[in-house]
Amino acid sequence: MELDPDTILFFQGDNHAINKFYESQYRSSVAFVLRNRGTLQDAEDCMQEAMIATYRNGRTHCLLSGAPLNAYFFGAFKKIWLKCLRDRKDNLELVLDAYEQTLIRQSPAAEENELGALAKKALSDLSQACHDMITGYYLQGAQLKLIGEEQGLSDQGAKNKKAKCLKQLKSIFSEKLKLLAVDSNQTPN
Amino acid sequence: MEELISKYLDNQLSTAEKEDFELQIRENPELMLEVEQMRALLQGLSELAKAQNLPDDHPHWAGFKAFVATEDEKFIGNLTKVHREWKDKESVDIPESTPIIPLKQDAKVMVFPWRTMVLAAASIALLIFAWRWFAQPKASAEELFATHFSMDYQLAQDYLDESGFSANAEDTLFQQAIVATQQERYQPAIATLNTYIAKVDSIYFLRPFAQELLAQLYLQTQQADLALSILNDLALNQSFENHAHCNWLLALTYIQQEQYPQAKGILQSLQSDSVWKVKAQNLRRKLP
Repeated sequence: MELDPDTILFFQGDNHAINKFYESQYRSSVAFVLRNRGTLQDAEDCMQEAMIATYRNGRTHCLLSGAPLNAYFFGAFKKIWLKCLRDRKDNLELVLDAYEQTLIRQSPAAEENELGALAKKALSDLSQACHDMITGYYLQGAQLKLIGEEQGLSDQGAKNKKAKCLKQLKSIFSEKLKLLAVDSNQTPN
Repeated sequence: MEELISKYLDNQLSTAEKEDFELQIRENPELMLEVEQMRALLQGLSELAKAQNLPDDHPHWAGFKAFVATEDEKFIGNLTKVHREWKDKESVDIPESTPIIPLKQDAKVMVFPWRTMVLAAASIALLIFAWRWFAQPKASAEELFATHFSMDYQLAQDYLDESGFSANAEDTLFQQAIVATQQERYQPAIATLNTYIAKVDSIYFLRPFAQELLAQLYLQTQQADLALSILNDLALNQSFENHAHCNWLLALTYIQQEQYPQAKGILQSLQSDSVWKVKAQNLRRKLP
């Protein structure tokens, strides 16, 4: 999977990349909002919000699952605009042009706490000792020293074990992420 | 390299080291993949830690949270700058894709007496039609809701039958809730569904079906507000097989609350769905 360098820069918060992406989305975003009962001001506010939502929630889909950045952005943008219409008690029928319909088809269906659910599944595939180590340290906030003692490890041994377990967990988690990418690509939106 | 990734995500690199490392990430796709996978994992674990009520400021998470906050601040700062620059631009073109409404051609002046006659006849016909339309007693919100609302969980039942509860041990709870619904024991059904929803993974495929049934039970038991908050999410979830049905239920909820413009909007959008078109059209016509 080859990634567009601008997408990586966007997620690194690079000023130039943000500007370039903003510029590329501005006209179509304004057109969408004006066509759907909004004003220029609405479009700009909604755009800000969608850019932040894309940055915060879209990196896994765009950087690891290959979802196009503009499709993710438009999915977020449409959702925010719908919410805005709902808050105004306006009707919810949107007029999408052909390009926007294509974007919606490419936009992954993001779920809330998706990474948490994946991490939970990955944890259940770990060996018992590693499961206890990671759960104790990261989820229950227990001292590494104490977890190590329970497993008969020295301080350094516990540190090494934690690093090893985290690596193992990352490998399982990454496999599950790949499956998520396959699912996202097969899910029609 | 793993240690460096760990330090980077733990906010332990100096500004210069961080800039240098980010340059390496840009130039090395494999490294980028490693970093993003680890970041996603830590994000997932932090969501789990939050769900387990571990305090937000716990020292084990301080580094990663500081890293995310710094990155967030940097992005929002740059975005605000970009946004301001755009606002300062003198004018904004009207985007090309905005539909252009063609100007009406100048109407020709026609003064044939029969035209006036036809217009008068049409106006009278229209008045008669309008009088008949408005004179018809319109159904009340309660009647409309009662006529069109019925519980539907057949698809969920089919999936449960197919899986034989092998997909998830908790599915027996869902089945119990369906049985309670069939026996019209709505409160136990609601309690069981709430337990089921809290127990299963947020991405588990039967979860939205359970939420859909829960919303229907709330509607059945006159708790429209609770139904509304569930249906609002489900109706927007286009990856959910039954999202059109959820839109239908959402429209019925608005009708029950006598919020007709919202109901009309949803029914109008449902008309683009071939399965729901006729039903939505008929109900929309009956609304005041």
